[in-house]
Amino acid sequence: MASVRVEGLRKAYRANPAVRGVGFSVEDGEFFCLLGPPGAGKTTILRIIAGLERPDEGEIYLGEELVNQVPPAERDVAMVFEDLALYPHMTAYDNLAHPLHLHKVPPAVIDKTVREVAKMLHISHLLDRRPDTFSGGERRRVAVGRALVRRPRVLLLDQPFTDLDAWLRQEMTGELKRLQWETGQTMIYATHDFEEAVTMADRIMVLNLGEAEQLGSAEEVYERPASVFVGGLVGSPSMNLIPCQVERDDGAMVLSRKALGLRILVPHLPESVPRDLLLGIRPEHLGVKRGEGAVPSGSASLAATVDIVQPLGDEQIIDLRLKDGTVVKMVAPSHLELAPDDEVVVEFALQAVSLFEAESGRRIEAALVGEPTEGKKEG
Amino acid sequence: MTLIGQASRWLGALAICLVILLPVVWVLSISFKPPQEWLAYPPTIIPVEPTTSNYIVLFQPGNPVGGVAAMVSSAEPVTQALINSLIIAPIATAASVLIGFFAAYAVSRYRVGGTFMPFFTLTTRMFPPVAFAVPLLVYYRMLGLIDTQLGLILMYTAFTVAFSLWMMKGFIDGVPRHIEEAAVLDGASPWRVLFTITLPLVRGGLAATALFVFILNWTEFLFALVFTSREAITIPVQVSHYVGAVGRFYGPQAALGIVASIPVVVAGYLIQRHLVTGFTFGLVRE
Repeated sequence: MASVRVEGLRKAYRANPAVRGVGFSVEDGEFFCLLGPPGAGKTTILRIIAGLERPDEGEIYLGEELVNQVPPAERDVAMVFEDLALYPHMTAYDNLAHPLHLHKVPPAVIDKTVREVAKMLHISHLLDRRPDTFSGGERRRVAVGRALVRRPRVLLLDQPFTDLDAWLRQEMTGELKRLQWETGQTMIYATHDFEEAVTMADRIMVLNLGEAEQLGSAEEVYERPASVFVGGLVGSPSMNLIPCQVERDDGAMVLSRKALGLRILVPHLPESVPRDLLLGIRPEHLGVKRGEGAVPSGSASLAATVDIVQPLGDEQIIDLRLKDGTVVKMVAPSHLELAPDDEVVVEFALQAVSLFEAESGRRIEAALVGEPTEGKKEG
Repeated sequence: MTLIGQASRWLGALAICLVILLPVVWVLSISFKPPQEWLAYPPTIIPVEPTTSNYIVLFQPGNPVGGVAAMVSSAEPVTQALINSLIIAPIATAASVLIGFFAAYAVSRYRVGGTFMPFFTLTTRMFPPVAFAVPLLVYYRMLGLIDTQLGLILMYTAFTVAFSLWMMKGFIDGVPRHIEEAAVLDGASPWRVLFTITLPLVRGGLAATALFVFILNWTEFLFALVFTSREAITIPVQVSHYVGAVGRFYGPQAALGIVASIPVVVAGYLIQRHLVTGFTFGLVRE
């Protein structure tokens, strides 16, 4: 097992850039996640680390060793492919033993290791069977087992669980997390599903069109998205975005949206900030109440009409139409009884708000203080 | 399904069987008929006076049975042609499929020759074979390959390798590349991947290709006729020898046709099992 360091990685297929200058380092024993939509470059990065693709530029270090020139067979890297790539003509036992045979491990040790790994993954009863008789979950267990069996320096997983049913995916991600914890195996996991990333990863790198958008812990990526893109990708439903403008009011910087009657004081906004901003607020951080009432300090409120209500069992997703036509989504507990066309007031805590530049989509670090008292009822 | 539907399905199947099998039955029938029945009208499927003399004279042209001997006594025994065919066709097939497999792998996985080369191999099949016969005859005379088994083996290999390449390319393309990459990451060398992963997965395709090429080689007539005269004649050429001044000797020709089809039927039967296995055992993707 080893750490992984990637520096200045670039790769283009013909003229199409797939990875555009990505760098990161993964600690020994870390569960690292590459999160991005299809086409973000996740698979390409994994394949370059494995040695299946050559980078146009950039360096890959396993431990302290520069491995750019090391052929894939000698890198001691294992990979679970999206389509698993089990050997269809071999039994599960032979699938697991294959990497050990190739590394000249003595037969007795092979047998012992294969049975140990099979036990760990609960596939002991499958060892004599061929992959075509396995269920989707069993195939994935065998694929993970084959990758894990020789304890590679790093284990790469290319969204192996994405096309599973939700409950099975949860089971598999849970087990993978446990396995990683038990073995201390360095893992890099690529996925487009933020839930998978958030539940398993120590750190997440969010990728978009071959570039890194943000690198941080699950909490950081969730609480303080570095861009509109990250805000949209992480979380379900996506982060709500409300366009607003920066205005000067008696020397103070105020964030306003006239059509909504929204005015928020932002004292420490840098002078260089562009006029058009996006106010990002997660659906989970919205609350509603009926009728007017005092707004708690440190919060903001907006009048809205209920548009659509989607019950999801213990919670519901409510589409709220603001006065200017913007639709925001809210996740609310199911006991909240709302029906379409109900008039409500939406509330949110200012500290949960993220601010982005409208044009570039980049995050602006700013402390939102509250509504200036005189502007509260305007509009 | 209704009874009528069922019945019409069976009738349809029967009709198709008749169309396909009638020529075979007819050849089989003639092979057991004496000379006076070969062209008799009205024809009979079951020989009126069945005889095995057509088969006997194949191997003993001078044997005075059934009145056929007088007609074919000038012909060579079929033994030499049978042995030649049994040597030439399998060896040429093995060579063609082997070369085809490696070439197909190179084309499929390493893009050897780009798009031009694989297509170019097909040009050997784009001209009428007889167009090649004369120039090749000159080469073969210089090389001393005329009327030799080796000569035909080389020729058949060269002319069928394009088929082998294209058929095998189709099967190899069907093996997911990830499976080979997984083996590489397991630590396998390229040769090892080829033999322990790819080859077992295309076994069915290899069998199908071999059968197809074998049939081509076994039945090839033109080159065998042009490039052999006595020592290296094959069965199709031998069939053409049963023609005389008084006409065609349909009985011995039919008998030899039946004898010649036995190896193909046996080979097909043996290979059938591999054909239905399917090359990825039903596991490509969920």
